[in-house]
Amino acid sequence: MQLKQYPAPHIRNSQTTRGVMADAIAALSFLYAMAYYYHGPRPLVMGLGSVAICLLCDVLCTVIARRRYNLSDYSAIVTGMILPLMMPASVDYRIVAVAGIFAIVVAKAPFGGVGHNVFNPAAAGFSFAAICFGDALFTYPPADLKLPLWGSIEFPLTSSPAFVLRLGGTPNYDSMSILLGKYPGPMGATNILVLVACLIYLVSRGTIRWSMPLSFFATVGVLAFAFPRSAAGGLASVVYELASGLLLFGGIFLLGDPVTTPKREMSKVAFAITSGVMVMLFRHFGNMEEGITFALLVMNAAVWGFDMAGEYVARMIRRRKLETLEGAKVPKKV
Amino acid sequence: MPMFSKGIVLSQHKEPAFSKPILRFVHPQTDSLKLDLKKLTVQSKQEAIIEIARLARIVDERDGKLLYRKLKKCQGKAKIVIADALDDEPYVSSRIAPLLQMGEEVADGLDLCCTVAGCQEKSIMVYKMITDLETRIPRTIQKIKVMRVRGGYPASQERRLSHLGDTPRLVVGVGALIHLARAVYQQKQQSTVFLTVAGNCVSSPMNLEVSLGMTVMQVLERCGLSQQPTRVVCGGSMTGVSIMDTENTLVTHTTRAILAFRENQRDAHYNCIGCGRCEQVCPSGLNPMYIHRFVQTHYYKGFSLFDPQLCIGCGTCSYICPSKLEVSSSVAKAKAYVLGDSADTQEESEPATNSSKPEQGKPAPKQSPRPKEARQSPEDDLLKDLPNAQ
Repeated sequence: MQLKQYPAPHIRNSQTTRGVMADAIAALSFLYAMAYYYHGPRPLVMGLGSVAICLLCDVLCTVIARRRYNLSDYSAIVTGMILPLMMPASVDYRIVAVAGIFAIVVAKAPFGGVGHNVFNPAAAGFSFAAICFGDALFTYPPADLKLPLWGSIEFPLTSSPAFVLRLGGTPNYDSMSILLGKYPGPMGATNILVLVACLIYLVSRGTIRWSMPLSFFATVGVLAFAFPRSAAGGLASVVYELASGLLLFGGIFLLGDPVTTPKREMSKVAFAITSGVMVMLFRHFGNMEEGITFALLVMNAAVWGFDMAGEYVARMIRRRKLETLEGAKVPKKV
Repeated sequence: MPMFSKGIVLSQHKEPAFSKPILRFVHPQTDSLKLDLKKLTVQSKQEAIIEIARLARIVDERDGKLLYRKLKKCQGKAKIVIADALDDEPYVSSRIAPLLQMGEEVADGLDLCCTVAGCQEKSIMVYKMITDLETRIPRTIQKIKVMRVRGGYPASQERRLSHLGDTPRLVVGVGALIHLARAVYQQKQQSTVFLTVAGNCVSSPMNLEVSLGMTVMQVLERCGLSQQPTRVVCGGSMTGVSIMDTENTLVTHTTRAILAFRENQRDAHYNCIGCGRCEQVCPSGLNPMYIHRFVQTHYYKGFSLFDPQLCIGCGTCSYICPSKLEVSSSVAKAKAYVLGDSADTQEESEPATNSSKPEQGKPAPKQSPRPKEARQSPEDDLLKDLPNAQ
């Protein structure tokens, strides 16, 4: 009998890291399906290329760093899938590649790979591309336009509602087309209904928790109501702020990244609220029409602080609770 | 915000072992050992029972303490006697099965304990979240009320008993009660222990009454192995110890189960992705993820914020971890470090026991030295193992 010594416990939950990542991949593939429906096969090629580049970079970096690589955790695939979805469908393939390489080689690998990266790789990759190729990244093809796979895009590219809001205007799209994603914007971030379905799916699978996206969206909503950028005023501003740009997408997929967010529930909520404030600050005073990735990168650097503050509060609650339990003064029903 | 998890729901896997009759697998020589009660000279009934428990060498399987010591310390003091049949770990049914099948002996044992403690109130504690049983657990067993402990694993009885407040109580395992009844009414010495044999390598899982000192291999062969196990566990599936040498490991008083598993999956080398599930499920409200990371990086200074000494060793953090990391052993390491470090400054250091559960309610030794504890008389030692009663 060949026995090995194992520490307790001797049974394990069937859920694996791969399963967590696969959930994210499943949710993201819905968005690719929608992008395919609106823009033809080009988004799929972008997605596949981005995934391939991210995987390649991840493997290379791990080999160079002589770490043990486990291809079956799909983290690089998730990063590769998120990146193109934040960009317009018409963007040059090379920009996607550059963003992917930056995400893995600069934002992920030097920190120690999966689980150790301080900054969200996808947010970092997108921010880098936004700084370098702002024009290409923030002009969008009209919705419902089938794009050619190769060659230049001959149709006029337009700006998105986020840009209109940035200028202080009011986007003229009715609520139905906003819900269905029939307005120019990042190819994965315009389908509000599909995004909400993704959120519900991920929450029901236990991959992300309600607390974080909800408190994030609530903060943004309250701030949008209090300080509207457009002349449309209060409630319309809330709808436009939530639906425009990468806000919903980022709130689900970037903020839902477990590695670069705090661990404890209360830290998560505090983090999400602060992120919401930060996003709105970037939107009001930032240079670009979309500041969520920059806001998240800034917030990522503060995760450790949020976690430690959470631990401090948790220790207080824990000790107080144990003291009352020891005294057992409160009668409780068994 | 839920700081303290109500536990996790585990599929219990208690069948088919639970419903089968308990078989005896005993050594004929030790089984026939009788007590010599002729020289017994005692004043009262209470002392007679304690003396018999001492002569019969009965050990309470729930904490590994000698029963007569527990009885002596509670003599005439406890207000309620509780039979502990909490089998909250999957596969293990070595307390609840004897409770249902030998209810009379358990009731006799409870009566004897009540006589010693000088009280009338008695109760039986059973874990409620067992859903896969073929037999129903009755509401009363031998007219004794069955108390159902709700919530997921770990069913930490210390916390669930908090409704009793400071009531002094005596909690005895079901096995010890049966052996006490046998010692008093049949003059039998404790030579056996109840244990569950299960796991995916055991061809006929069952509950056995096994002689003390049998080897693990003998017990496994008694139930048959359908395939070669890669992991043999002494104790529960969540907290047990995996053993290497089955020929030389013996069944002891506190062995509650022998489990044999075979896993075909290869060890995956995932990194921690910081999902925070371990923090979500920790019944003590700790953050095992950071403790694990600190232990991995040998950063021992940072533990004061994380209270690893409050760990009850339930293993839920490792169970839930999607990256299959050994989180709970890291926390145990950190706990040992913190307790070992502060042992010099403490008046009495923590005794090493098999079950770490009693330390649940302990305050952090370094930060808040409690004069109340230092003044405790040794008589309260027993009650101390029920931390709520402190």
